[in-house]
Amino acid sequence: METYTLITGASSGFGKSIAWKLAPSHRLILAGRNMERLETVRSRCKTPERHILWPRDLSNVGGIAQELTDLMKTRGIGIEHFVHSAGFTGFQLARGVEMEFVRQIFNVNLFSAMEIIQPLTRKTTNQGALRSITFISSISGRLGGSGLSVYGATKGAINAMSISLAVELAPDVRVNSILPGIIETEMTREYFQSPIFLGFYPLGFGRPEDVADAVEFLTSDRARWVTGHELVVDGGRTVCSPKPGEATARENELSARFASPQRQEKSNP
Amino acid sequence: MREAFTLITGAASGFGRSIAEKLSPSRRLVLSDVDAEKLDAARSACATPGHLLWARDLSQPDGVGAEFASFLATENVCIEHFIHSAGVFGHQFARAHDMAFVSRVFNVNLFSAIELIRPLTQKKANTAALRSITIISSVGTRVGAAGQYVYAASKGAVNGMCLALAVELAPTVRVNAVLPSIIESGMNREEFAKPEFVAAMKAMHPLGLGQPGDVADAVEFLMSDRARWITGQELVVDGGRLAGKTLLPVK
Repeated sequence: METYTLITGASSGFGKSIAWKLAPSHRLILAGRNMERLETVRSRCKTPERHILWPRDLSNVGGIAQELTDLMKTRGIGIEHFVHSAGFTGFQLARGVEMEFVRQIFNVNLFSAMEIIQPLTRKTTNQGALRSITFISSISGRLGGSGLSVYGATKGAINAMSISLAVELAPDVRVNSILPGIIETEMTREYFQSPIFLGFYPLGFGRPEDVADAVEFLTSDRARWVTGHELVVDGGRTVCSPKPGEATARENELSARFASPQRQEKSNP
Repeated sequence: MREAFTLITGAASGFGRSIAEKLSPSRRLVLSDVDAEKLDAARSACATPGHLLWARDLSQPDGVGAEFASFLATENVCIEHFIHSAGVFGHQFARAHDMAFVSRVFNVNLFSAIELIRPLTQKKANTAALRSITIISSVGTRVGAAGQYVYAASKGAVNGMCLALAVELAPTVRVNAVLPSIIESGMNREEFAKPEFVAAMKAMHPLGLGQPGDVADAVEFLMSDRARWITGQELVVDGGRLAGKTLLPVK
C-alpha cells in the first residue's frame, strides 16, 4: 500500500510552503477549498503527478470522515502523516461575539481535524499506517489579545487535544503542534506595515518556510522520540518583553482595525 | 442601581454546588443548572436566602445570551462575578470519534460561556458591573490521557479564551481559570466507589485526595480583591499531581 502525507489548508499560507517543502520526499494529498488554487500549488511541487488533490471546504464538517475513507479506499492508499494547517483567524470582541462565527472557526481549526483523525486511526481504513500528526497551532494559545478570545480558544483546544492524542496513540503515532508567531503571508501582509510591530520579534519577521521546516522535522524520524510537544516558532516573540507602551499601542491598533463583527479571514497568525 | 449578583453555572452539583455553598454567606447568587429541582435543592443548602435560580440547558447554547439578558432585565439585577462551572466530561477514543459527543462537550464547556459573556460585557445588558470571570478548566490541558482528547480540547479552548479575554477586558474585568485534578463528585462517583481507583488516585496526588471545597476556595480567592492584580492565569489545584508526574509514582 502506498502511503501519503495529508496536508489541509494546502492552497495558501503555511500549507503551500509545507507542500513544497515535503513534495520531494513525500507523496502528498493536498486538501483545500479551491481546486484551482490547489492545482497551482501542485504544479509548483516537485513531481506534481505523484500528488493527489482533495478539494474540500472544512467549514462544513459533516461527512468529512466518510469522504476521506472513500478517497483512501478508492485509491487503495494509506496516510502516514497528517499535517493540519487549515485554519483562519478573526477578531471579535466578547461583547459582539456571534455563535455562527464561533462554530465556523471551530469547524475549520479543530473539529475538521477530529473528523479526519478518526479514519486515520482506524485499522480497517488506514491499516495502522499513521505515524505522525502535526497541528499548526499559534502562540495565541499562550498570549492574549483583544478580540482574539475565540481564535485563541481554537488554538488552546488544539494544544490540549495534542497531548491527549499523544498519550492515546503512542507508541505508533507521534502527535505534536507548532506554535508560530505572526508570519508574513498574503493574508497577514498588512500587519507588517507598523514599525512598532518589529519590536515584538527579536529575530525579525518569520517566513512560511520557517514553519514548513519545523513541520518537516516533526514528521521525520529525527523527531522519533518527540511527542505531545508544542514547538514554538516565533522569532522570540513569546520570550521578549516589548518596550513599555508598545504592546498596548499595538493591541489598540489591532482592536480598532479588526473589532468589527465581520469575519476576517487570515492565515494563522 | 441594580443589585450585583454572582452567576454560577453548573450550580446544582459537583464543584458548582460547592462553590455556591462557599459563596452564599457573602454574595447574592444566581444559580444556574439544567435541572430546576436539583437547583432548588442547591439553593436550600445555601447558608442564606435570597438567591436567584436560572434553569437552562447549556447543551443548547443558541439563544443563551439573549435569554440571560432578559433574565437580568426582568429581575432587575446585574452580574459582578461570573463562575462557569458547568461541564460535561466523557471518554472518547479518536478512532470512534462521534461529532454529536463533540458538540455536546463544546456546547456546555465552552460555547455556553461565550454566549453568557456577551451580555455580561455589554453595557446595556449588565451596566458595566462585571469585575471577574472564573472558569473551571482542568489539568487535562497540561497532562494527556487516552480517550480524553475531546474533553481536553474543550478545556484547552477555555484556557486560550481566558488569556485573550484577560487582555480585552482589562482593567475592569479580571479573567482566570482554575485547573483542578480529578476530584470526587457526581460525575465520577462510580469510579470512586472502586478501591483500586481510589488507591491509584492517592498514588497520583502527593497531597492525597482533593475535595470540591478545594476548588471553591480557589474560586473565592480569584474573584476576591485579594487577587486584584491577577488576570489571565491558570491556577492549578491538583494536590501536587503535575509536580510529581514526571519521574516516579508517589510512594
